[in-house]
Amino acid sequence: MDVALALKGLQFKIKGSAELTANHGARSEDDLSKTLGISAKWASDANKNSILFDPCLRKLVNESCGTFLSGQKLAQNLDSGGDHGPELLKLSRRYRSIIRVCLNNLYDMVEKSNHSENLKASYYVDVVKVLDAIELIWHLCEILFVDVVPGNILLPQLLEWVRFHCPQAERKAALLLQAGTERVEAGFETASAEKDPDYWKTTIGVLLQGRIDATRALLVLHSDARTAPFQNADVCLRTMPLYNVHGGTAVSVFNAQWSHWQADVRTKVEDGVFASNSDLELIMKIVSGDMTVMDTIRSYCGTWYQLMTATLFFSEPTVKSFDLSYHADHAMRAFGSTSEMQDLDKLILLLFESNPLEVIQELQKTADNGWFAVHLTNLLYLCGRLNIFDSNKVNVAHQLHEHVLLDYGTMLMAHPSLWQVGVSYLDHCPPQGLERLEVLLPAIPLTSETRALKIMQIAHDRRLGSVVTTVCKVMASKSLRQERLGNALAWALRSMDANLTNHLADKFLAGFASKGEFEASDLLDNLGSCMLVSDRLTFLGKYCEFHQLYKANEMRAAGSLLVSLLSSHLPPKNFQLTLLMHAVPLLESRELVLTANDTDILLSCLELLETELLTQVDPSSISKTLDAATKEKIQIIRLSLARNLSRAIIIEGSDVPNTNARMVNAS
Amino acid sequence: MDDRVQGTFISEKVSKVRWKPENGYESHHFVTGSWDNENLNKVTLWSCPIDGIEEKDDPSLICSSPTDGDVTELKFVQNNDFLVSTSSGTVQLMTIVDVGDAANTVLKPTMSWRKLHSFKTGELGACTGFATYLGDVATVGENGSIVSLNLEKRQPLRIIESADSCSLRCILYLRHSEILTGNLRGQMKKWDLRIADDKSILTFMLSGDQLGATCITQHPTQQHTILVGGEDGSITVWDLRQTSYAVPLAAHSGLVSEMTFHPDRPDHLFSCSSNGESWHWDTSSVSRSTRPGQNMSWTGIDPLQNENPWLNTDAVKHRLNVVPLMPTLHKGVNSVDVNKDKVVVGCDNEAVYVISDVLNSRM
Repeated sequence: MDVALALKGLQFKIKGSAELTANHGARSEDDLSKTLGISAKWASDANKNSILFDPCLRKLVNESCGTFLSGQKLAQNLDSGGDHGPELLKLSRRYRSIIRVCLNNLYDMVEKSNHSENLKASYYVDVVKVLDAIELIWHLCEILFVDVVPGNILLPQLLEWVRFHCPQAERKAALLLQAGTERVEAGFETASAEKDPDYWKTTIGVLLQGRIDATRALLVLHSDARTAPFQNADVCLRTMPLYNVHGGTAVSVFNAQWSHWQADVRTKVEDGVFASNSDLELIMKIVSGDMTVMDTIRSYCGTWYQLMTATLFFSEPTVKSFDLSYHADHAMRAFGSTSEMQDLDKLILLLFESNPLEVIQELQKTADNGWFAVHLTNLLYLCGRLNIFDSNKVNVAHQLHEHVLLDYGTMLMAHPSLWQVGVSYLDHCPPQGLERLEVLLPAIPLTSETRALKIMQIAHDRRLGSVVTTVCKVMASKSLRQERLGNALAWALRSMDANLTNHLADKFLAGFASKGEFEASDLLDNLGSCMLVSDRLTFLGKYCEFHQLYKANEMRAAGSLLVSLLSSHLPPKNFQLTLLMHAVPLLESRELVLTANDTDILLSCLELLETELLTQVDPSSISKTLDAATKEKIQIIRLSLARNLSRAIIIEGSDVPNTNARMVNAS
Repeated sequence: MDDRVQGTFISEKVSKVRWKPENGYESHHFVTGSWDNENLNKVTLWSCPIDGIEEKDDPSLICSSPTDGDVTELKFVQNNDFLVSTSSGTVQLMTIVDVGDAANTVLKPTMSWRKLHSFKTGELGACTGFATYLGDVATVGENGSIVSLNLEKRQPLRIIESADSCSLRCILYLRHSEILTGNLRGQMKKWDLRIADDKSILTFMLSGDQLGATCITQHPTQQHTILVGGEDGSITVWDLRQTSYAVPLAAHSGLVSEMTFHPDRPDHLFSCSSNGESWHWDTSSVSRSTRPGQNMSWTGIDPLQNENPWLNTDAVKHRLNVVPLMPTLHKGVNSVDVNKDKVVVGCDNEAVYVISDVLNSRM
């Protein structure tokens, strides 16, 4: 299976969801999408089959997130000026080394699973191919866009790129060289390396990759190395001018040296200096830039880009970067028909054409859930190499950048474990990122309190108060469902939601009314200032305090608290009678607890309550009276009030308030 | 990053990390527990390359064993035995078998206690943590109950069903019969396990803000000194001899996830936080400057009490030497453990970091 098939086979496309896009200015997004040529596709599902979530690649996700964030830090300094080229290059290399580490792990996995499961091994082989392709493209991007070289002469780096990704020839050369040295050391007169069937193939292979030194070393190992043709060839190769970007030679000077040298080689070839050995003659023809051997070169190259760099090396070593697109096209034609062109070739061609937008569009289709697209886009954006113009000639690069980040962040947010990584990406696409975070954070299932606390911290750090409230409310209702009234109240208090706390306070009161004791008294007794969140909760807190005082036998304090509660608007109507009933033992206690004034307040409360109760009674009923139990309670209270009032008046010896009439009426 | 810091990505968020004890010798193994990884959570044994030959190598995975839910606490009880608690309310005793032979080493569950913290509705509740004292174990859970276990017995010794009306988040053995628990609201309760009555003997609030207690630790030599980490990043120092005396320290800027004193060098404390900080608190300079024998007696302060820098308000606030163990991470640090001069931290960015030479001055 080749790389393009692997890319296609594992292709993962994110499905768009129209409903969700509608919430966030669907129109503008669509317009933008048209310009950018990317379908609007947010609210993606984190497909578990995607290779990105394989344990091996999760390292990639997490480590690159760290690199991404340091890139954003760098971006903050970019505005302040100065040359950040070296730092950006370092960043690019760090991404590549992350991929390489990942690849090495995968090689180990392939090796390990080879012994056991074939299926798994072939899966990892595919993953390796995808990552290999990613690294190849990244490396090329780094050469073309990140590592800016004076004079735009990129061939030396491109040769390095080819060597790095097509290492077969170099590896074989190393083996041959080692074997040859061993033979010489063992006392043989010559190494006779040409006996190896791959000798000439390897020699030409390294030559085409620009390794002149390796070619010479290999030629020395030939049995005829001491004969005149070989000696001559060695001289030619040794004197070959090599362009060094930082060497200080002007391009024109180098070009003059180069054509002079090539003419010299050509003369020697034409004179038949190398004719005794056809392979050697081929090498020298290649070196002299002889176009007639083009076809032969082709068979030594595995890919069209190898062919391109090889031809350029011997025909136009100082080619400028903007000419590469022409040469790429040319090499591709020479190598084979374009109908066989595969995704990877297309990407490389697009890169030579300096068309990052299309590259990014293509990359979004790869099997890595956009991992590559997002990080490459980000890097190019930081380097200022992402320039995309819409129909109005406005640069929309930042929109593309934001769009890609949003997609990737959203995709990760949907993953059950990597959602925290998603947050980091959404953090860096203002202003939409924060909005989306506000929608997505509360959607994460609150499976445990630990998770809830993590989400709350994320929301809190980003000042998303509404998310904090939502999480607290969800936790409260979850606790309520689990019949944990105390915990529900603890979460409700954090949400500061008055309605919810009112509701819970009512539940507490109802529980008290039926059981005669409070659930979660450890919480209620320690509410502190939190009880001020809602009226009902304040009442609940004070009511508990009353019971505490009562239990502690602090009758006076309990009494005055009760009176102040009843005279406030806090108690719910259906609870007033219960409160008044609590007054009875205080009124009947051996010592005087409630003063005449207090009694008066209670009495007026009772009067008010009775009137209200009477009016509430079903008007259709004939009796127009209260039920027996309520009636009895009211009577008991009234009696106690009367007795206490008389006692209080005597003890206090003070002026009788104007309540005589009512009291007489009561008795 | 500092070359003393060795980071390794392990493809799962780490909730707990602990060095395997080696009878007081330097340890080369640690165990990690993962969280929030669907049904794939596990405990894993790692081996650190021994200094010298391959110093820069990553720790290598030796073996792992699945757990039923997020790992919420992990503690060694013996050199080769550790307890692990999970979010499904299970506490399991695991034994590392054949530790000398990496290829054959396995983690074997030797004993497990299930459904320890179920809700009234029957739904499984998380065990949020446990404390150990010799062979005894006390666990706390989201359902607000305390369960007392013994490593030799299959059945729980005692269950305090409604110990707290809120979720309990952390627990500590003050002594064999006494435990301290902290809940979601920062309410701390002291329990005497000898008393049959299910009532705490002491209750106090961490702060007036109703912010949860996240972790508790005890000074290794001065056991009346208790440090409680809070959800707001504060560390509150309590002197249990005077319950009203607390020094709240504005420490981290996010939830304090764990604190641990160096077992052999109590002058050193390590703490980590959900905002990515991991710190080293060095109090040795404070302890030295207030040692009795110096001209301290005229102040009338008991020099012995003053020797504990944590209870010295002034020292704690102004003179503690706090150094970051490594640069602040972009994800939360969930766990920290120390062995000799090496610290290991476990984080939400799916990495563990081994930091060597921590006791040498970093200034």
